[in-house]
Amino acid sequence: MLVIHGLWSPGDGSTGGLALWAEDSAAPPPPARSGRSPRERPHPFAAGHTDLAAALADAAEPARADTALITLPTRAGTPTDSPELIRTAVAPPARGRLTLAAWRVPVLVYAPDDALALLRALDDLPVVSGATLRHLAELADFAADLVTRGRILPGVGNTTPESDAAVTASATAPPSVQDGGRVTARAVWRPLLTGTDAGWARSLALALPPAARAIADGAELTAGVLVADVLDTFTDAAARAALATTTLARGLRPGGPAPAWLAALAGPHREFTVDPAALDTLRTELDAWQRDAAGGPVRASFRLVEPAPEEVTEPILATRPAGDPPLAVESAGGGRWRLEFGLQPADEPGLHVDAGQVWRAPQTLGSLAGRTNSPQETLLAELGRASRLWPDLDSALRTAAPEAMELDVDGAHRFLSEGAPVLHAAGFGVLLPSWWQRRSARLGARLRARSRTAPGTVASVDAGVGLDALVDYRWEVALGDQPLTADELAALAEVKTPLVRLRGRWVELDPGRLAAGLRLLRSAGELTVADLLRLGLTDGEDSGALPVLEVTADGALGDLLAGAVERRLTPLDPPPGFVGTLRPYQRRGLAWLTFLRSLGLGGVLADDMGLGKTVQLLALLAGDPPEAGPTLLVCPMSLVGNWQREAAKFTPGLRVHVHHGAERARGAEFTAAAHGADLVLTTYSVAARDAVDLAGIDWHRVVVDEAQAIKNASTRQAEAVRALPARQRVAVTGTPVENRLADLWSIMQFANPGLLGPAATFRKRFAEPIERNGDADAAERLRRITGPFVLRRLKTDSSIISDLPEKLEMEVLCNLTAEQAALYRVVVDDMLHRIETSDGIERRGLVLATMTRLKQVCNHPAQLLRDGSALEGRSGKLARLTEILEEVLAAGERALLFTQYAEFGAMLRGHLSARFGREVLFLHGGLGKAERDALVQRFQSADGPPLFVLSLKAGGTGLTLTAANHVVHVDRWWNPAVEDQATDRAFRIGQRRRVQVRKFVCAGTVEEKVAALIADKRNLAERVVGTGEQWITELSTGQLRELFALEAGAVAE
Amino acid sequence: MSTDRFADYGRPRRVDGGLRARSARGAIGRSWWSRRFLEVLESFALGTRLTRGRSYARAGQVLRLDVAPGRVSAEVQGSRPQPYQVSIALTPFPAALWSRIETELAGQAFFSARLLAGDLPDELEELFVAAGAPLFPTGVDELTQRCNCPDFAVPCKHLAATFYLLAEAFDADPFELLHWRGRSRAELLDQLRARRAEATGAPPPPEPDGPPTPDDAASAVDVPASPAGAARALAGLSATPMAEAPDRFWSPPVPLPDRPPRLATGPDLLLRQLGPPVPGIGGPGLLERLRRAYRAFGPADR
Repeated sequence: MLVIHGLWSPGDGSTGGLALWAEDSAAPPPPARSGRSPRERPHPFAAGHTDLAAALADAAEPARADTALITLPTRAGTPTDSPELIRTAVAPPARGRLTLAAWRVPVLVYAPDDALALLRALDDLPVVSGATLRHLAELADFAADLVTRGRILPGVGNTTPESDAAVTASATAPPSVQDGGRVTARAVWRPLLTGTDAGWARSLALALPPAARAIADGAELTAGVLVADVLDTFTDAAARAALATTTLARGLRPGGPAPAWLAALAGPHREFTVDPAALDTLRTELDAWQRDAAGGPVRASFRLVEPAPEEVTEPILATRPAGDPPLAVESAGGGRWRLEFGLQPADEPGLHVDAGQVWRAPQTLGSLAGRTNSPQETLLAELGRASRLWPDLDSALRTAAPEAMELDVDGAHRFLSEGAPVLHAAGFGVLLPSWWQRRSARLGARLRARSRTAPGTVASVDAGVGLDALVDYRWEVALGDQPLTADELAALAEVKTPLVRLRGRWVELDPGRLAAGLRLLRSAGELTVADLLRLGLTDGEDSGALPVLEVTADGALGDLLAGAVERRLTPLDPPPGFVGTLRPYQRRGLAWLTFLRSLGLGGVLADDMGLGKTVQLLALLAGDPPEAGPTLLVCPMSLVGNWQREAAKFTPGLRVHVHHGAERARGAEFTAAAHGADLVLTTYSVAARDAVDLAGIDWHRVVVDEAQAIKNASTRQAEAVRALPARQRVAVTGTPVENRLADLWSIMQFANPGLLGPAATFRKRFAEPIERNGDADAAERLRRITGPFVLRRLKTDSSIISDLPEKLEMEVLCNLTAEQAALYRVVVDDMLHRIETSDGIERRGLVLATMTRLKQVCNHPAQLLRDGSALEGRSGKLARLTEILEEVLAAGERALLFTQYAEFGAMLRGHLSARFGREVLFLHGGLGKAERDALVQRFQSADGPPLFVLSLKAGGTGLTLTAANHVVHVDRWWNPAVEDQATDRAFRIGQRRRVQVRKFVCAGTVEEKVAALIADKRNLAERVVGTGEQWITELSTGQLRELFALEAGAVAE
Repeated sequence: MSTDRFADYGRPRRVDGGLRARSARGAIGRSWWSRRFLEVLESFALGTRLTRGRSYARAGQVLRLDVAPGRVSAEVQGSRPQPYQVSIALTPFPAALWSRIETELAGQAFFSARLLAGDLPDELEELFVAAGAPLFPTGVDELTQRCNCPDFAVPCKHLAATFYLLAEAFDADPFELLHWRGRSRAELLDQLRARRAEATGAPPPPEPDGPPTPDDAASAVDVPASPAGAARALAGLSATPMAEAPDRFWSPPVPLPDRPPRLATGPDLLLRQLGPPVPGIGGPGLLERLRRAYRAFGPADR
């Protein structure tokens, strides 16, 4: 496996750009050397050109192969490994001081267009991306996004073309003069970074891994210069990619510089020839033309202030007895609006320095100090520029020192709807009253629905309402939460002002919407529950349509729509078939699941990890009537064993059928097995493969656990589980789905198909406005519609936290992969044979070696084999660990990972840092005291890395690591005292959160059996505890055979 | 002098680094006020000398152009080794008139605002006319034109070239026109600031010191750099030398925060904001062609 790193050096394709090099995990670790490193040496484990080119062949064609001299952290005469590198052969930890030294590596250099394509296709490459490459990909995405939003400007580049190889190009070289006095110049697209874009660019520069600027030739680049060059280069490349089929200069008369320049702005050829005078003109005029695209360091800000309430006459709405004609509205509106002028620093958009202060006390503008020497002239110039964009402003500039513009209600509305967007987009500060853009300030519609059945009878279990049931409805028109009658609407329609203060609040009156409101009030009818729920999604952006503010209903449906239904329901005691107790919030969760089932609706159980989603589900299952039919549970392979055991523990009466593995039942045999079971467990991949068999069963319920597995709606497994017929669908996930809207859509499409509408519409109406533009209205609408169907409680919720113990210990059962199981059996057979024919110290040694090897297999085949092969997909433990850490990271929390094997720790660290793109710390016995202290300090710091791998021996005592509230014992030492001591690194004074401790055990292996033996102390003398694994050596060969044997069901796939 | 006569009909000497007219083709002058100024010239000058003056201006034969109250002086490279000295003089407005005008200008922020934003509002011209002092020369007799070339015609091509460059200087900074008329930008702004202070009752502000900011530094010769390019937003970031953190070489020094919401704008908003560029590089036609490009940038489903 290659770990690919990216280097960047400024300049065009001939001198700089993207260069890729790689570390090769299969290369032997170089021997440590002592003494000073020479000036330059070949990198000992960098991949050669051939390997590099082969690994990257599918993505893009390199411009050339070359070598680069790069500066790398070096210890004991050897460059250090990047964290992503997982070695085939584990090297002993090197000691010595860490210094920087120069190494020569083979590189592939890419032209900008190809570099962009490569970085945007990283996920599909069979390589591990280093942090530098991932960061460059982030920059490429940003550049592409700037192009999509048109935040770029065309210009003339400074560099000479590479046509003449003898010319060394540099950023400031004059255009090269060609025959006939003409010069060759480059047409470029450049990013225009303002506001949040500028902030994001700075964030990207600050987070640039130093390794990206490791090129040692010449002066060291700062991150800012490097990122600026990357963004400029990729912006130009992305713009050209977007213009691939567009010609800009067609049909243009030649003459002047513009036609040639325009032609060079599209397509791969950036150069154009032009005479020098024309080029100067072009450059100067383009600069002059674009000068106002970005403001200076201080810009004008405009604050709209509404009139004082007593100034305003509110329209008197008709509230006369029925039959009387509606009252005409009295003079409405009135009041003076003020648009206040001020200055603000461009990088502190929250600040507004009043114009009055600028005029009267220009020396005291502390917040603008250093940004402008002449605040008055700055304000005047800014007002002058703003008035060009919004000419209404001129009228306010007729006094010596204007501080504000007086507006009537029409003027205020014109500013809100026309002036403000233009000024804001042009970079001026615009502060508007908070009610503007808020839906309560607009006219909206509310839907009232009534179930067809009389209220009360709905509750009969199993006579669910379902998404297809019909309800009667009628509309109400409202302003915020105030309903309006038809008469009042008609009266408002006569108010001819666009803004009206009504019942103490400003509202926008749109004639089209008023008319739509009147039409709605006359309509009524019937619709399905699904349509009813979907109506809440209408955003009313089309003119003439009203946004739907609320959907209400009577009965159970009404409870559901009212939101927070979980809190309103009476907590349910677990049914008799459930062995164990439920915490109060779990009883509420059970009530919610039961309630949804009674309505025939699906749900997403998204409680925080560690809150016991499994037991809530099992309690729900235990309450199903015997004739209900089987529940199908689809989960990742790594969880099958866990479910099986939890079901046996909490719901022993449940008939469980596990449907996986090569010998699983098919066809009629499967149908019989399924009908004979209450719970059928299967994996996502089997669900996709056996889709036909599974679809043939009349499922009472389909549950998907770790529902992020179907977050990609178009995958085969997502399609397969969606296609399963069921009376209820439940998705279980611990990751906060509501934050990733595409995932939410896909999971909801499983739980309640059609509820969120087609994917494309959803993306346009919700995902893009919310994720890209932070649209609070759309987010609120979405929360309202999904809220009833998503139950997510956090550990930090006050109602939950009191229910939780301070330290939650869990044994996590993992499965073996087929590869692990095969290896396991080989080790057992081989070792038992040798143990049988040995005795004394040799036998004891062999027994302990067997234990070690079996535990290594349980961790990962690569740990036993030491072949440096890729880790992904080969270990049940690693799969489970990754799932857990995903949730930990999504919650912004930190975890300690303990292993007793330093080499596995190194593998974990490498794999996890590559998998999550986050720095992973690793503390092991090879580190000195100062280095350990530095690691602890970094982990404990506010923005420290979230994951910390520790060897049990080196890190199990003494340290304080309270920044973590998750502890995972990836393998076991069988010594509770040692494990507890390690756990207490996190669970000690200074820890303010509840700590979750997970102890990994592979099901059906020696790990599970030893764990059971220790738990069940009847068979063990007290001496066992506290002595690790020594006691095992005392067991007879027969007992050993039993202990080591791999039980059926250990393998998931 | 007579020995040099034929040289006047020869080609002018090439000049490196001369001031060059910005427009490459067609008429020079894009704002109404610079065109207005050139109308005066074009009303009395002869065709061929104007044409040659324009090509002088475009070829960069004008070595130097200084605007001072009442007098514009320039050096124009002709065919002789020694450049010609050119001056165009007019009577500056008297101090009393300026004082009246300044009172008017200070009374309405509109004038300073537009001037500082690079515009010369036509109301300003009306204001000067009303004060009995038209801003633009009404006839050739108001101007004293001098050139030490042997050409008898006035204006000669050197004068004409100077006129054209002057018009462009007015384009770039309308304050230059007022400067010629007697008030430099700095003086005028100082006066206006003082009068504004009187009007608002504030203590007169001290003169600005230190290096000027981009807002008040615009002048005829300074061409502002393009706002585009990422370097502008990334200037001034603190730089950490790599040698300082060999232990954090591979990972981000600080974690990348969540991406903030993006500015929601239509893909062609920038073009709407900027308006058309000058005709010299394509004018409104160029804008339309660029609009085609910006539409192609936008999301495909639009």
